[in-house]
Order: sequence, then structure tokens, then C-alpha cells
Amino acid sequence: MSTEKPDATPMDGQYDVVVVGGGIAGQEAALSLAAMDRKVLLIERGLSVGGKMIQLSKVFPTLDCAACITTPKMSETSRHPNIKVMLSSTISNIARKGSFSATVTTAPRFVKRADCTGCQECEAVCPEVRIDGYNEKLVGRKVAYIPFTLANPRIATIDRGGTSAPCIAACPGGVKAYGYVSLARNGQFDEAMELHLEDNPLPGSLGRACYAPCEGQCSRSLAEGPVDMRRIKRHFSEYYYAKHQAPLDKKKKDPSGKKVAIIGSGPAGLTAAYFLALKGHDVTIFEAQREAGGMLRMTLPQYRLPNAIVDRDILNVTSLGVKIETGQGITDPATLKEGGYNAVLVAVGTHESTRLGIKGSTLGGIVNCLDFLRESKIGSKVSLKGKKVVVVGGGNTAMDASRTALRLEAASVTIIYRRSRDEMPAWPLEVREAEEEGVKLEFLRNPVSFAGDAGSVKSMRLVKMALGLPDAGGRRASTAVAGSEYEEPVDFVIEAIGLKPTTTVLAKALPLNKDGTIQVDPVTLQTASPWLFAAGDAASGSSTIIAAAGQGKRAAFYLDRFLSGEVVGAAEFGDKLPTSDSAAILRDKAFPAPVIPDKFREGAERCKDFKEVERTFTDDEARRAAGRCLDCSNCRECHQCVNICPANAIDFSMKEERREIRAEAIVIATGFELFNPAEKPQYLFGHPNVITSIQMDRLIAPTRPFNGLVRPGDGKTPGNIAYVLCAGSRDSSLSNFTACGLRPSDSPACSQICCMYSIKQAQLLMGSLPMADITIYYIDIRAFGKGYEEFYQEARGMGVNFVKGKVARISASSGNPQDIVLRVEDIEKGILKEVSHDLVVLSTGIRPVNEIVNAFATEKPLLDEYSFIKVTDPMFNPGQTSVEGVFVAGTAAAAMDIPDSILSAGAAAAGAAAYIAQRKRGF
Amino acid sequence: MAVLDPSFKRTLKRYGAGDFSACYNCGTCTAVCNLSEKNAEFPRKLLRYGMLGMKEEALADPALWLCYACGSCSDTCPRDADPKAYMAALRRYAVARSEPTGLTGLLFTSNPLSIVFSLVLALVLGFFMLTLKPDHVVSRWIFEALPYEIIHNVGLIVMILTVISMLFGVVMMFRRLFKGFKLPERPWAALVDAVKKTIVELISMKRYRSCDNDEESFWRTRPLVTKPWFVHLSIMWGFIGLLVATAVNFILKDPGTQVWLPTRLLGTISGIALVYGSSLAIYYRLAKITSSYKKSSLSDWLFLGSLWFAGVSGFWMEIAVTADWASSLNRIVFLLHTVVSMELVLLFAFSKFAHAFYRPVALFTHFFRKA
Amino acid sequence: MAEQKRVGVYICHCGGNISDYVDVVALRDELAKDPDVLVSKHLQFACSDASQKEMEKDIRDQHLDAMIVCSCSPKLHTHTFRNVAARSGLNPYKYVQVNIREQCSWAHSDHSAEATLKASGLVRAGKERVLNAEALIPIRVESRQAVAVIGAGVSGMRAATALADMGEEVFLIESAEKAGGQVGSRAKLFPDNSSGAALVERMQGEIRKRPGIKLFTKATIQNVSGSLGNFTVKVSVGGGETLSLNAGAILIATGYDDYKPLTDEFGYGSGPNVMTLPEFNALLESGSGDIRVGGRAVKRIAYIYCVGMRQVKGPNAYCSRACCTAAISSALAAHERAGGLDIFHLYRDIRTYGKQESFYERSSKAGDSYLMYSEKSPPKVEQKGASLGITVKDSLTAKTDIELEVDLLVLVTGMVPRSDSGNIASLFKIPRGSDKFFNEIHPKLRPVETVINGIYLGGSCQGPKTISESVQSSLAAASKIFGVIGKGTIELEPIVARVHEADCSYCGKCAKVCEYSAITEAEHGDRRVAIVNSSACVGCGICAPVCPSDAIDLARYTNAEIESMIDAFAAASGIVPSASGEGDASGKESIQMKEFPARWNTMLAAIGDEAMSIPAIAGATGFDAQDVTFEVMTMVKYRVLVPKGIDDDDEYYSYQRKW
Repeated sequence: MSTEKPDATPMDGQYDVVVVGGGIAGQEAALSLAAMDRKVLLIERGLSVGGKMIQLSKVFPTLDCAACITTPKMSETSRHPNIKVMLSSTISNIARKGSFSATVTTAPRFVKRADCTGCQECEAVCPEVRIDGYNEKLVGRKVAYIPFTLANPRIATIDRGGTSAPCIAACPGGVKAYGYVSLARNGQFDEAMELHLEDNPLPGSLGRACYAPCEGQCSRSLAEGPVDMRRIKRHFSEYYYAKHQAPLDKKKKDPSGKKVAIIGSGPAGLTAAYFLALKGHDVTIFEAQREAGGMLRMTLPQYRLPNAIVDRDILNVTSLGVKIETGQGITDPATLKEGGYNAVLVAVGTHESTRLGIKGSTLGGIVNCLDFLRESKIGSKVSLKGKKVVVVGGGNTAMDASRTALRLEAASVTIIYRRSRDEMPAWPLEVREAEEEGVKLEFLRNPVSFAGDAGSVKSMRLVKMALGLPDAGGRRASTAVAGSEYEEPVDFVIEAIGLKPTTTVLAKALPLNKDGTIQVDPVTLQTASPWLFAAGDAASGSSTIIAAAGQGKRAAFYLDRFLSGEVVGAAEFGDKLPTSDSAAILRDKAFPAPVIPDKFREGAERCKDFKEVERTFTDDEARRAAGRCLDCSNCRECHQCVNICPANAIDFSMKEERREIRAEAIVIATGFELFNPAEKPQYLFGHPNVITSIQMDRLIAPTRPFNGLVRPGDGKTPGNIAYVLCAGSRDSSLSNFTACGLRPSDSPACSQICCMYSIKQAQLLMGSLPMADITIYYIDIRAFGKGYEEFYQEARGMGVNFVKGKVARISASSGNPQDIVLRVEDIEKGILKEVSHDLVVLSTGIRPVNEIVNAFATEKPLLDEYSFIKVTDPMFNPGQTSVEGVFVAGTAAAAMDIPDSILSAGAAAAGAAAYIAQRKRGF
Repeated sequence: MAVLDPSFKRTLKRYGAGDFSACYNCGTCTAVCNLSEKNAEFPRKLLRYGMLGMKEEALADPALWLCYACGSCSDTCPRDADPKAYMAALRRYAVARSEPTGLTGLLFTSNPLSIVFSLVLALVLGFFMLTLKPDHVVSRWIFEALPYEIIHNVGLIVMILTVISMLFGVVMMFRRLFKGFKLPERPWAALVDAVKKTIVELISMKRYRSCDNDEESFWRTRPLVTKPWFVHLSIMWGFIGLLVATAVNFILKDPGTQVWLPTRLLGTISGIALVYGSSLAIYYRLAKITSSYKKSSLSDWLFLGSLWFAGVSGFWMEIAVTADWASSLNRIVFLLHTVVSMELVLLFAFSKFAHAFYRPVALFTHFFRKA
Repeated sequence: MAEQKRVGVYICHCGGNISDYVDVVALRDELAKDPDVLVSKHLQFACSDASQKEMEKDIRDQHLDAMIVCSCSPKLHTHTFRNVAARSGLNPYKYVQVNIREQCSWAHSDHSAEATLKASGLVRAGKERVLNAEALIPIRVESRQAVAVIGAGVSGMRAATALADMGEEVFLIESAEKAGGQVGSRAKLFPDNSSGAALVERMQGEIRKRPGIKLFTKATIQNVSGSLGNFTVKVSVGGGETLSLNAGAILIATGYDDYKPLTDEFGYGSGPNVMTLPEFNALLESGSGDIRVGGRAVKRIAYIYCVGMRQVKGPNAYCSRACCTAAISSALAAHERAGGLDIFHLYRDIRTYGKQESFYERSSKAGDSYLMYSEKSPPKVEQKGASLGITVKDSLTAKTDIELEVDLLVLVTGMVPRSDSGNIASLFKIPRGSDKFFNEIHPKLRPVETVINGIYLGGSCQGPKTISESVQSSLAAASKIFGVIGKGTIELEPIVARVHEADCSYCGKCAKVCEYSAITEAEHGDRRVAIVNSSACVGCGICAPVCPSDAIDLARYTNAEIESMIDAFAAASGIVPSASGEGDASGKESIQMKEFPARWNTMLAAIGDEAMSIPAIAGATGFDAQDVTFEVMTMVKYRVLVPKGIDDDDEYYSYQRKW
């Protein structure tokens, strides 16, 4: 659960130079500066250093393998003692105060860099396939993946896409609903259970009695109705418990030597104990009642939650070595502290009832619901045979009490509620079930007094109520209607009007709020005494099982930090991301799937006994119910990767980190973008067999995604390939698109590299497909660098076909729509041609990337007329931008090939080094 | 061997060609053009003639007239060389060169002159109209100075000269297009075929239609009746219909006050087509709706404006006549209508209008040569 | 028998570059059988970070005492793996790289089985070599904090200022009378239209401002000796005194010469109306108003591009990079100076790369005519009275012959190596490329370094460059130089000659052949022996074979090492390689996902136990062929499917289930 610790290097936060961009120019600049003994921080927004060069097959004109040239540099960059590399990071707020200050934000990759060995086990097991960006969308990759074989560092990442599914986000207990649903969908019920046990030890109870806030937020609830997550959970917990009578061994941390006492064995206490025990602490739970389980045990009736299930859930906790001492009411936690416990958690719940306190309410036959439920469950079941029973209150306990009364053979059971049905706090499903069983509901009534005979209640006086305006909390007040009082005969009354924290006995020992809850820090759940924490309903007020369990988990997290001697509040609890957008999910991926119908025993039959009212799913039903899931987030959070990782390197709780840094100089090496051919509709980009040159580079690279060279449209081995040069370069017609909101190309500059990389690819293709015809359509062949013209002539000699003429229109062949027809004028012959090719490569040009200027808070570097970073003194200081101390290297300044980028990086490094030297000399 | 003549470039700029020397010879314009085809590649070839000063080659190429100025070439030109404007300029130059008096050249290259000439001609024509009723009060005094016959005969001579110019131009064009041309194997069959194709094309302009159908064309998804092809067709058929109706009326000597008379009906429908087409064309040019409407020369405006006015004023007259609604305003409108219509016909050979007879000739040549 | 040897062998797939042809598994197995070899592995990418970590772990855990990586050229990765060794406590010189890529898989890609056999020989040789290799310790040299910059053109001057700013002393050595080089005569420089003269003046000013820079003009270099850290450059200044300059490193920035056309090449020399671009630039700079040649005002100018360049048959095969833009900017300058010019450009390809394209655009918009010729039919030029007639077959007009008459013809000549570049090369012992420009070690890995340690290149002596690019490269060189000598001490490769004094009786033969003056005579007890100055020795090894008594050898190349390598290579190979060199040698098992995406399931069901092509799968499932390709390739990537082979019609691969 911890976040990755920043490397404790001596240069933390203080650098000579910050290089932004880890492509070839950035690496080269960083290495040059590091060689000069400058401390360099290299910031790269991607998952690896390497830039675009690492995607290339080979490089012109030497035909060296690009990887062979880049990997040593990447390796050296990552390892150089003077360079610190920060990946997945962006820089912002760059301001000059003498030197530069800036903020570096690092996105979480959910894999601990120091621990990951790059074994790819997580990638193997991950069931989700996404489009692979490194391979330019030609193949898929997993959600858990290593960015590419040659990545540096070669470690995995979990692509959570920045969101959690709504069900996961909704769960106050931090249970991964989408995760277990996706596993259940695949029949992996054991895995689903294991996933649940990662976040909560009480799946059996929750599967029956949870109010399932996840279902309330389920995207499908906006369509046919939510995925039945609770019942799926009930199914896999039953499936698992049937298979495993005793819990499987869990990986515990080594004993910490710390002792923790927990007061209360309800959901909060049990959950906290579970997580603290996993952390290696020695945990003892003190329970005042004679049996453990809190509300689960005492109040939830058997027909909803059988004792055996609670026992099995508790076994998950006790099997970790947690001791439960029942019948041990603690009144002062300090005694425990003094008795040798390092910390104490109070999780006593809300076991006191609010009483009506009206005339006659001390008469016999009037009980509070908690006593009633507890006695009926673990005590003596008193028969109510033939009695007319009234239950006062509209909450879930009222439902439980009334249905229990029915089962105790009451002649009739009536619920009296002072507001109307809409205001009832009870869970609608439970209300429905109660009514099905024969419970009568009377609304807008309130008891005024009871009258009795021989100390037993015989009648009650009621007053009719009317609803007023909503109060601040949105609930409508109810007021008595004058003169509407009337008498009703009654034999037994159950008061179910509210629960109160069981804190009266603790009042002397702990600071309490007015409502009796314990005063805690809402985030850490720590009280004013650092060793004392409080969780669950006793701290939050009456809530739900899952909310209480969530509190227990939270308390365990911070309590563990306290025990480990860490600053308690310095870490953020939880691994949730912002919620994904249900409306968008429904729009994009909805498929029809009807709800699986409820399965209850008949109301008339089930009210006769305490056996469970709801039937469980079959395997098939569970899978079908899970199959209705709409896959709302990029990552399922199924944690199969977490479980398989042999290095325990995957950590979903990683958070975005921000660090403040200082530096003397900045080198911008943010590189370029390739022209998006969709901007030019004539190029038919989108047809699978019209690809970009970088895609072709991937297709022919030694690390290529495809087995042989096949075209993406239908897997055919192309026999006839065309290159369309100047796609997006030297083209002022593209500025026509600025009006449509697309990026402007501003001015028709030449991209400088396309001719040569096309010739390179043509040469490589001639090698790998000796029978293929390669045609390059060009305007001018710009082979101007050292050895380039020779390379060009060599390609001509090899038989690459060069046609002077810019391709104007690309269309799918009317014969075979997989084939591509180009329309072009062959300038040297002066004739118009329509030529069919198997595969067409668009030699896309370079577009500027300049967002970095927005990271400057004070003076921003200027852009040139082409929107590249402006070099203000090209003849004298070719790396100098308009801001003193800020330099630019490589294609951030202009289109250029790799040798020129490397030279430009060297020049920027020289500029930065001279600048720093001069500053240090006090220029 | 062609001798390079850079002055031609400057001449064409005077005729309204844009920055066509910006061309870097990528051939996009030729390849993007739906009408360009094997053996009739344009517009880059013609641009090249302009760059190098190859005047005769430029004029001898029927491809010049195959273009309907849809503007795809200019839209996609990576150097903003505006081939469409260049083609239009070269056509103006060709019209000027084909006409023996040199008047057309003057009108095309000088806007002030063009305006002055149109106005003067309008005055003269108005005057000429007034002479049609020699006993009219207003003009009686003139005939004391100038005999009615002389004025009328001068008018007729001008008309005849116009027709001669027109014929001369056509003959000139034929000569240029067929220079060094070898007859095909079966010349008669080829001739018949070419004539057939020409007529079909003239009636339907189906080649023009293909211009609006490109994937990326602005017009692709627009209703048919708003497409440039339809607009052009409406104007053309509207004008021809009116011409026929007027001629028949003239022959029948029946001004036709009956609305349901066939000639009247034809006139009405044609008039609607003409006004619809020219209104839209004017709107497109004013709104510069696509890049092909961005640049308009004075000759475009004069031509379109005259057509529109002739059509609208014609309707005015029709309504006035039908409603028997006489006023002095109507008289003026009638006068203007007649003047503008006359001017259109008179300047047929000296204006943009001339394309109406050069294009068929070029189409015919194109089809015949291809046979 | 001596103690157990502990060699680690790593065979690299190079992502298919090697493993597609060489049977790496067989190689691995053969080595594994060798008693000296403790670890034998094959790796997807030996150079990757994870592989390096794996090697480090092996070295530490298995206590390896020597290591071989069989991969690419040692030029690329020797340092990488030496560092691996050093990091894990193994002497870096107990590492040998065997090149089975360039020498086997690439050289014999048509003979996969033989390539494997050859690789096996090389690997065995490498193993023997590493067993005989000595542990060496790098030589540490104190460096002079001074740099000699040869040539005071813009490149040299700019590097000098940068080095001085970083704190180095600079000797700026210029053969001409003053600093400035060729740029001073240029007008309208790309990209900012500034003038060359102004730039030169500015740089001269910067040099004067820095006392650390000592400028020597009219200086000729007599002799260069020494080595990295301590070079001695003997310079005679102004023909008089000879100075001995002591520098830690040398930057060569000697620039280029303009190509001089041959007599009558495009009419050159036939009259004053044919001139080269530099000559025309000088003419442009020399006055204002009408441009006059032979007393006549020039109205029409033609440029012929690529004069002396891009020759398929001639000596200069290369493109001179900067001349297209130079010619066009001179045309723009001519327009600016004299209105009403008609300018014709006769070119082959216009190479106004990058932002220079705007010059081309401006010139065409100004009305310049561009005509394109091919090398096969170059323009013909003849004098016609006072003007010139040029005929050209214009490729832009369907190869029509065009005739033009002009008043002036400008031959766009490119850059050629300096006429004295041969001398400079032999003075500094640096190599020249086939284009006769000085050669760097590697254009991307080490673009400003020469094979001589401590000697660097900047500017256009390395190849044609624009001014800005020249400045950029000399600055890059400056940062490399400072990175090496700036700390004061340098670590050098210990691969130097060594004299075994016992066997030496100083005959002087070794000293005579040494080109680096690294061997001198010295007393050794009662005898005279040769001694080697290890910082001057470059390890070329020429001394070893001339020694009559085998008293001198070269570290890393001792007789024992070489002989053992020859023996091992000659021994029979123990492997019977499979002829195919089948690619799937990584040994990785198919990845067993517990759940497949729905589409995969449908496709796998369709494939069944057969092998199917993508169109067939698409037909059977009703999916789009494009989607099928994507999913099939992803399944191949995750080893759910494997390619079976290519169809009969040689168009489609077929695929089958992995299990």
C-alpha cells in the first residue's frame, strides 16, 4: 500500500540542467552534460526513454539497426551517475528565481520500479487486450504490459486509463466489484473470491446482507437494471466456502512485534483486524457480547444471514492468528495500552437504541428492536403466537424486527411510520420482502402513549401526521395533525426508531461528539491520543456493513503507519481512480442483456421459518449475470496480475506524485509529432492498407509485430508497394483545414527526413521481399546528407522505381477493395497514371510539438513561424531559445534527421554548459 | 525546339492568372482533376506552357476548354499557384487571341476600359432602341440630323461584324487545334461519333457533374439542385430557352399575351431557370462559398450580372404585360431589359460568353482526336 | 589440470537479426557442453537493460571469471558489456565480444546452416581468447586543459569561444592572414538573411573578448605528436618562429574548398558571362543597381545546379547539401539588387530541405522559371554573340527541348574537400571517406570523433554543411571535448604495446614503424631496450610483427590469445545445425491466458486444429479481414497462434493454434 519512495540520491531536487524529453536528442544532451560533470534531470512523459528512434527498423544511410544504436544510449542514460531519469513525468510551473524552479508531476504506473523484473507474467495473465501504441496500432497489447521489448527500464505498467468503474468507485469498502464480476463471467469463481478477500474478509455476509451501493451506480442500471453484483458475490462465496471449509494460507508479513487491541468484533473491527494481521501485527479483539460478529451476529436475522456464514467469515480473520476475547466489555482503552498493547482501535458499533420515552413505554411487552433481534437470534426465541405486534419505525431494523416477529408466529405485524413510504430509510427490497410476507405498513402515524393492564401493554394511542417542508437534509418534517388521535389495541410493541453508538460507557475515557460518536480525524480515524483509533458506526454513526468494513480497512491502513513509525497522515489511503462516465459507456458499448430475475421463496411459505429467503445462483446464472457487465473501466482491477507477480511489484494504490525541483538551465528536447494523414481526405487514411511510414518501420523492424511482412487489411504479403512522399509536408493546401479546427500547418516547410527514410524502407523491402515492386512517388528527392545521395543512387540501382509526381488521390480499387489505386501525374513523361498497389505507405512529415512553452510560468520561449521552438541566434548559438538559460535540442526546433538531432543536442549541451559556467563565474 | 519566353507569364497575369509561377510541378492539379485523362492531361501542362512562354502550344490544346473550373486543383495545390485562376486567364487570353479586332483583349485586361465600354455601348443601344419608333417624340429631333436608315444600317453592320468575328474565332481555333493533325482511319465514323459525344456532353454536361462528386468535395453531400453543375446547366438552358422563345415569338410576330401559349410557357420556364441559376451563381461568388468562387474577375461579374438582370427584368415585363400595368417605370425597365439583352448578344464574341461556342469546338476536337 | 574455468556465454538474437539465420539454440547447447563454460544462455536482446541485469546477476552469483557476448560488432557494444562486467566486479577486459551478426547472419543470410557453423567457430575462438585474456587496468592520463582548434572559420571560432567559456585555454590556428574563413563573402545567409561579413565580425569580436583564446594567423602546422591529454602541435607562425603548443585535445575545423569547374564545363571559361556561384555572389556584393558583366547590364540569368556534384561517373558522387538554397538566395538577392530580372534555374532536384523551402517558394513566386534536367542529358551552353544560348531537355515539360538565351550563366558549384585535406589527414592521421572529407567514427553514435583519441571534427571539413549546421557540429565537438578533458584526468584503453625487456635488445625496428612516436629507446640494466609511451600508443599493433625476437606484443592481442583463437576456430564444430534456423528459438512457452477476448474465441473455434489464412478466418467468422489481421497478429504475439507457413499462391500466411 505504500507509494514508491523517491530515490534518495544526493542530487534530489537540485540539478544543473533539466532536460525535457527522453528521445535521442534529450538523451544525447543529457549524456553530453553528464560527461561534463553536470547533474542532469531527464524528464520523459512516456514509460521508457528512447523516443521515436526506438520504434524504427534501421537507420539511413548506414542501415544500422536503430535499436542497436539507441539501446546503448538508453542504457547509459538510465545508468549514468550524473543523470536522474523521471518517467511518466511532466514539468510545469517553470519559473525563474535566480535559477529555475519547476514542478515535476509523475503519473503512477502501478508497478514498483525497483521490484519489477520484467518477467511479463502479469502481461501473460492479463485478460484485456488494447491497441498497442508502440507498434502503431498494428497489434494489440495487454492492459498490464511492458511498453516494448527494448524499453528502458524494461518493467511493466498497468494501464488503468485514469478511471475506476462506477461500481468500484461506489463501494465504501473498496471492494473491486468490476474485478470479481469479470472473473465470475469467465467462471473464475475462486479467483473472484480471492480478489474479494484482498479487500474484505466478509464476502459471505456481504453477499447476503449488503445494500450494494455498487449496484446503485452500475452503468447498466441506466438501461435494463444493474448487474446483480451482490448475488454474484453470494454465489462465488458459497462456491468457495463449499470447497474450502478452512481459509487458505494467506501471505502475511513477518511479525512486526507490535500488539493491537480492537474493541468490538463487528464488520469494522473484524476488517481492521484482518488487515492489521496481514501486516504482521499481533491482534486481539475484545467483544462485550458472548459471541463475535457484532451486528452481523446480533441483529441480522437468520433468514437473511445464517450464523454459519458469519462464523465462516470470521474464520477468515481468526485464521490469521487474530484472537477474539468474548464477554470482555472494555470501558477504558487506556487500560489496554497500559496492559502492553501498542495501539487500540475502538469499533464498538451502535448497539444502543433510541427510545420513544412516552407515557407507558416502560410497560411490559414493549421492547427495543436490538434486544428483540439479539434474543431471537442468539438467545431464547420467545414465541409471539397469536399476538398483535406493532413495530415503530421505518428503517431496516424495523423490517428485520417485523419479519422476525412474523416468524415467531405473531398473529399480525404492523409497521407504524410517521412519514410516508417515500421517506422510508429502509432498503426497498427489504420493504418489498416484508410486505410479501404479510407485514402491514401504516404511514403518517406516530404513537403518543401506551396503556396497559397488569404491567403489560394492551393498547396504544396514535396520532395522524402530516408532511411539512423538507428540512436542510432534504427530508420532509412530519407534524401531528391536531385532534386526530385514536386508540389501537396491541399486544407487543417493538421500538425501532434509531440506533446510538455504544459509547456511553466510554464517555469518560474518550472525547465524544454530541451524537455520541467518537471524535476522530475523518481521514486517518486517529483520535486525539495518537495510539487510539476509532472506526465503524461508533465513529461515523449508524451506517451499513460495507461502510463499517471500509472504515475498518482505512483504520488498519493508518494504524499500521502509526505502528511502523511513519507520519500517519502523509500517505493517501485507497486505490480508486476517478469514476468513468456511465453515459459514455452506455453510448459506446451497450449491448442488450435482460436482468436475471429474483429468486425468492414464496412469501407465505418463507415467513414460517428462519431458513434463508433468497435462493442462490447456479454457476450458469452467475456467469450470465456477470456477462451483463459493460466493462466500464480500462483495467478490470481483477488483480490477476497482482496475484501472479512473483516480485510483488504491482501496487494499485500508487498515487500521482509532485516534486519541486531547481535547475540552472533547461534543455527542451520534446521532439516532434507525425502528420496525421486524416487531415488530407484525398489520402484515404483509415483504409487498412494505407499506412504511415512509421507503421511500415514497425512492420519491417527486427522487433516487428507481424511474423512476416503482411498488409494490415487482410494479411496478404504485398507484392507491390507504393510510397507517397510529402504527405503533410511542402503543402500549403493543408492550411485550408485550420478553419475546421484541425491543427494548422502554418507554412509549407519540408520535413527533411521523409525522402531518406522512404528510400531506406525501400531498400529494406527489396531485401525482405525480393520479388516486390517498390515505387516511390516524389517531387524532389532530398538526399542531401553525408552518404545520402550515394544511398539514393544505390536504391535506384537495386531497382526501386522512382516516379516524379505527387500523389493527388488515393482510392480503394473497384476490383478488390483491399487494393489501393493511386492517381498521379508522371511528370517526366507528362502523363496521368492510375496505378494499383497492394499497400500504400504515406511518408508523413513532421509537425511541431510545442506544448512545453505552456509549462513556463514566467517568460515563455517564443515559437517560430512554423510553430517550432524558436532558435533566436541560429548562426552563433544554434541551441539558444528566446529565454536565457533555456536551450532547445533536436526536432523541437525544426525537422531534422538523427545525425543532425545528435549534433543539435551537442550544441544545446555546449550552450547550457557555457551558460552555467559563466553564471557560476558571476557573469 | 521551344524558345523560352518569360514575357508570356506577365501577359497572363494581366489576364488574371494568379501566382502560377509558384508551381513546383508536383502534378497534383492534373491528378486530382476528374476531367483530366490520359492524352488530355491538364492543368499542369498548360501551366507549364505559360511558365515557358509556349503560347501556340497553349492555344492549340483543347484541354483548355475541357475544364469547368470546379476548383479542385486550386484547393489542393500545395503551392497556392491557383491553377483554376490560371486556366480562366488562359481562356480569356484565348478568346482575345481568336477575335480579330483586339477589342476583347482590351476589355479583359483593363477593368476601367471594360466598364466604360459597357456603359457607352448601353447608351448607344438604348439610343438605338429609341430609334425603332422613328416618330417618337423624344427622338424625333435626331432624325433631323441623322437619317433613320443610316442608324439602323450601322446597327446591322455591327451585328454582322460580330457574327464575322465569331466565325473567324471559330475558324482560327479549328486551325490551331487541327494543326499537324492526321485523320483517323475511319474519319466519317469518328466524326459522327465525336459530334454525338459533343452534343450529349453539351446537353447534359455530365463531365461537369463528376467534378462535384469527389470524396472530399464540399458539394458531395449537398442537394443536387444547389450543385455548380446544376447552376451552370440552369443558366445555359435558361438562356437557350429564352433565345428560342424570343426567336419564335419574333418569327411568329406574336408578342403572345396569352400565358399558356407554348412559347410563353417556354420563356417562363427558361426565365425561371436562368434567374435561379444566375442568382445562385452570384450568391456563391459573393459568399465565396468554396475556393472555386473566391476569385471573380470583372468579366465574370458583368456576364453574370447581365444574365441575371435580363432574366429578372424579363419577368417584371411579363408581369407588367399580363397585369396590363402600364407605368413609366415599366417603360424604363423594358428599355433596360432590351439594352442588357442586346448587349449580351452583341458582346457574345468579345466576352466571357464566347466560351459558349469555343467549348463545343474544343469538345468536338477532343472527342474527334481521341477516336 | 588447472582450476575450473568459469566462463559465461550469452548469445543474442538481436530480435531476429541473428536468430533468423543462426541457430542460437544449437549454439547455446554446444557451449553448455564445454567444460569451461558455466553459464550459456541465449537472449532476445543482450543489450537490453533486463539482459544486462541478468548478466550482472550471473557474474555475481556464479562467480564468473570471464564473459562472452555473441552479438553484433564490438564497435557497437564493447563498452556496454565491459560496463556490465565492471559493475558486477569482473575485470572489463575479461570480456570478449563475438560478432555473429555482421560476420555470420548478415554476411551469409542465404546460407543459414553455414552461418551457424561459422558462428560456432567464432564463438569457440572467442571463448579461447577470453580464457587467455589478461585482466587489464585502464591507463589514467593527466590532461592539459587546453584545446588546439585548427582553422578559424565560423566553426573553429565558435568552438573556440564555447571552449573558452567552459574554462579551457584555446589555441586557434589559422593558415590565412586573418580569421574568418569563407563565410565573410556570403550575403543573405539561411535562415535569417543576415550577412556573412557581419557574422564573421561578430565572432572575431567574441574571440578578442576572451583572453583564453590565442589566435595564430598565417600559421602552418609543422608536426603533431602526442596523444589524448597531451598533444604537441608545432606551428610556424608567419613563416618565422615555430611554436610548440601543448593541448589536451584537437578540434579540426579546416573547412572546404569551392568546386572549380573544369574548362568548358557548361561553358566555364568561354567568356566573362559564365561564372560560379561564389564568383557571382562576390559580384552581387560588389555594387548596386544593374548587374553588369562585360559592360552590359544583365537582364536574364540562368543557374545550372549540381555542377561537379551528384556525379554517377565523376569523382563527386555526393550532394553538396547547401548549394540549392545558396543559389536560390543569391537569385533573391539579385532580384533585390536589380529589378526586372528574368531568372532561370536548371536543376536536378531542388533540395531546399526543412524551412529552407520558403526560399524556393519565394523565388518561384517572384516569377523565377524552374527547368529540370537529368544527369544523362545535361544542358548545352554556347556563346551567341554577347549572350549565351542554353538548350535543355526539360523533364517538367515531358522532356521537351527548350532553348533559352541569357546574359549570364551561374554555375552552382558545391563544396569539395580542401585541396590540402590529404596533408591535414596525414598530419593528424585521421581517415577520409570515399568523398575525401574527413570521417567520423559513426554518424550517429560518435559523430564528431575521429578514430584518433582526442582528435575531433567540426564544421564542413567533415562534409558539406550550412553555416548554422557547421556551428552546431563544432559546438557539439566542443561539448564532447570538454566532457573528456574537462575533468583533468582521462581514462584510456589499456590496449597498448608492451615490451618484454628480457627478450628485447633494441634493434629499433619497432620505433621506426611506429607512426605515433610512442616507442623510444631506454636503458634497462646493462642493456638498451625499447619502451612504450602508453598514452601515445594507440594500440595499432604494427610494432609486434616487426620485432625479430617477439619481444613486443599488444595487450588483448597477444600471441597466446590469437593462436588459441585460430586453433579453436579450426577445430571441428560439435553442432549439427538445423538448416532452417527456425525463428522460434526463444524457448518461451505459449502464454496461457485464463480468458480470451470474445473475438479470439470465435476465431479459435473457426480455426480448430487446422491452419488457416486470414481471409479464410474472416470468411468463417464473418469478421472484417482487417480486424482478423489485428487479432491474429496479437495472438501470434502472445503465442496463442503460430504462423504455419505461406500459402501456395505465395500471398497469405496460414496460422494454427499453438497447442
